Amino acid sequence: MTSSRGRIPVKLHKNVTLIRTSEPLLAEELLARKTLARYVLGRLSETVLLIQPDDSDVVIEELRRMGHTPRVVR
Amino acid sequence: MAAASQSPSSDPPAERRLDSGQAPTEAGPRLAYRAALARYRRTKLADIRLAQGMQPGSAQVRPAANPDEITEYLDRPAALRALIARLSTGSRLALSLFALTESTSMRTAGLYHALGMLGVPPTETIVELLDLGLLVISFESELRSVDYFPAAIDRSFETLDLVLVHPGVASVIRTTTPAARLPGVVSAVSQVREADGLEPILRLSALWQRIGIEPLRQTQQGVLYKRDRERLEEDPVLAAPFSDALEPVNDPAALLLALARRIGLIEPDPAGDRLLAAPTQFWDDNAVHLPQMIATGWMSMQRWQESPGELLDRVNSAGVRYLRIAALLWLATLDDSEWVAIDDLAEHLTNLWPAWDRPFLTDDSVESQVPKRKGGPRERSRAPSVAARRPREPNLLCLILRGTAHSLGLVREAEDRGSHRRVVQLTPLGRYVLALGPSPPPRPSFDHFLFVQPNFELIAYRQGLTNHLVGRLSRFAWWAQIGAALQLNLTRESILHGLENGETAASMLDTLRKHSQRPVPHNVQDAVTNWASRREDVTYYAAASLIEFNSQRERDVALASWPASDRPDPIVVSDRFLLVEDEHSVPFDRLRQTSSRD
Repeated sequence: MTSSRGRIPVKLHKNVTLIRTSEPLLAEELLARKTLARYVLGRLSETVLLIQPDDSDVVIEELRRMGHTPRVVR
Repeated sequence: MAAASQSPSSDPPAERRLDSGQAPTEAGPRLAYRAALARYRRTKLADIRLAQGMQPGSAQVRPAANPDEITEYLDRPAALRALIARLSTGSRLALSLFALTESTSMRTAGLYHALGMLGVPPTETIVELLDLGLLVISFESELRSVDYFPAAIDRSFETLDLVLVHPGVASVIRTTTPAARLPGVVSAVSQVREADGLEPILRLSALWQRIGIEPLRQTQQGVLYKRDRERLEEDPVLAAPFSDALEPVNDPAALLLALARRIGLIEPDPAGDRLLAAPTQFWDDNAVHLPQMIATGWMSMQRWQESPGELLDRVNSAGVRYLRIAALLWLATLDDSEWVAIDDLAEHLTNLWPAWDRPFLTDDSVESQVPKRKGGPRERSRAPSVAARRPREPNLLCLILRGTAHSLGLVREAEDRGSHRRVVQLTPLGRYVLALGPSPPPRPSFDHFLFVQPNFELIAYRQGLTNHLVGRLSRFAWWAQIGAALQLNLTRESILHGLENGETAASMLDTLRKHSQRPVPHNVQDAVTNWASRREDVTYYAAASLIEFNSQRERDVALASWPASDRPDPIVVSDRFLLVEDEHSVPFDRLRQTSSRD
């Protein structure tokens, strides 16, 4: 433990909108889709994309249009 | 009221307000009742306390505190019972109307209209209840104090204001039926036709699915956007004619929407600009009581009516709502073996209340029944004018009894063996909804009512369905046809809908296997499993939390000591980040938050 009280110091980022894929290839596929890529703010890892928070319905609809059946965690 | 009190009052407040004219009840029926009392003259309040049994000269009669005293006195069931025991039959009948429709308010003109149809002198009856404080007259914009009830009734009649009932009455009053006997009652009948009552439940489940997939958008005034309205009106399942109604049901999609809002199957979101499907739990919680909830919602519904024609801004003065309950209460005067022809019932109503079928409470054609001033206090003329004796609308009672009430399973029809006329009576469900009979026996059912076909179509026999199973199937199979034959489709979207409503691939297949007459085709099993598994390929987090560590080592230490709980485990995103679905699952007794970003 690094803190004097024995608790680990962390930064908390709340209300973050993300897409997580089961494989890196799927994330690549999403990034290659122009209509979806414009809502992607960044790639946090091979399988996690940071998404604009205000366009949930549009992004989910686009995922479905691509043939995915995303699990939506609200 | 026995049956009326058994189901939860699930009307959304906004819907209650719009549909049953309960504008002042935003803060709750009891507060609205008390607030209306506070508009009375103090001497009037003292009169009410005295009428309730307070001894004259008692120190407890404190005019300034009387609204509270009256309200609190009626909060006591024993006091209410004692007062109700003193009432005339007509007044008990009036209170029954509130309890049966689970309403705490009515338009004064509407109550007046209903009592007239039930053969009860309206003014005397309403005044008797006002005198005892069981009803209170409420003006939205009236500045004068209420001091003389007949005059107040007249003013309320003209302004479409409300009478409110003390909310404790519903749990105490028993259903009272009209005292008179219907003419032309017959007993020898044949060819009895009775609906299974499933039609509205099946269609409501289809509506629930549609709105679950795509919520309805509405304006601040509660009006649907044109595109969403058309989506419902053009849906082949929702807009199709009711298959078991003996008369056409007007605008089925609008009826379903109004019913769904009344029973809480769809609800406005917090912002009020969308209508959302209720959580799946609704079906588990309410399956048993659904027929009664639907019937009660229908009886008090104003936003939709049986006869075609736009209500527009005259919703609050629609008269059909009061005819529905009056017609059922007249049928309730029949014994189990007795039937009556709708024509005879219509003639009976005409003799009692010539304008019984008026579409709006404020129609000029019924001015004869609106209070007329005769010198001092107003009295109500009962002599129908020429206008009031206009040709009847013969179909309205048919549309109510043979159309909606029959499809809801409240009324059954037969043929009189003597005259060969069509006659009607209440079903056991109808008597139960009116709190006049026991709960109807459960429908006989059989487990294997489904055909699961390789083309992903499910054919269902109505006979095997229960309300609970309708809800269960609606989670993951798409209603494609509702009629004598039922068809559901399995699609990728419907399976996703099931997953989002708590199902798993295994539970969905279990349901299909349990109720299918033949083994579920392999391709269907594979597809359901495949569709469900693909859902885990992509996860969308609308508002997740990311925990950022200073190093990978600290992340690993935190992960290793993460407390076990029923919440989802954190997910490793990168060397220094963990993803948590629920911020409340973060163990801050082990982590120290140095900063936070939203």
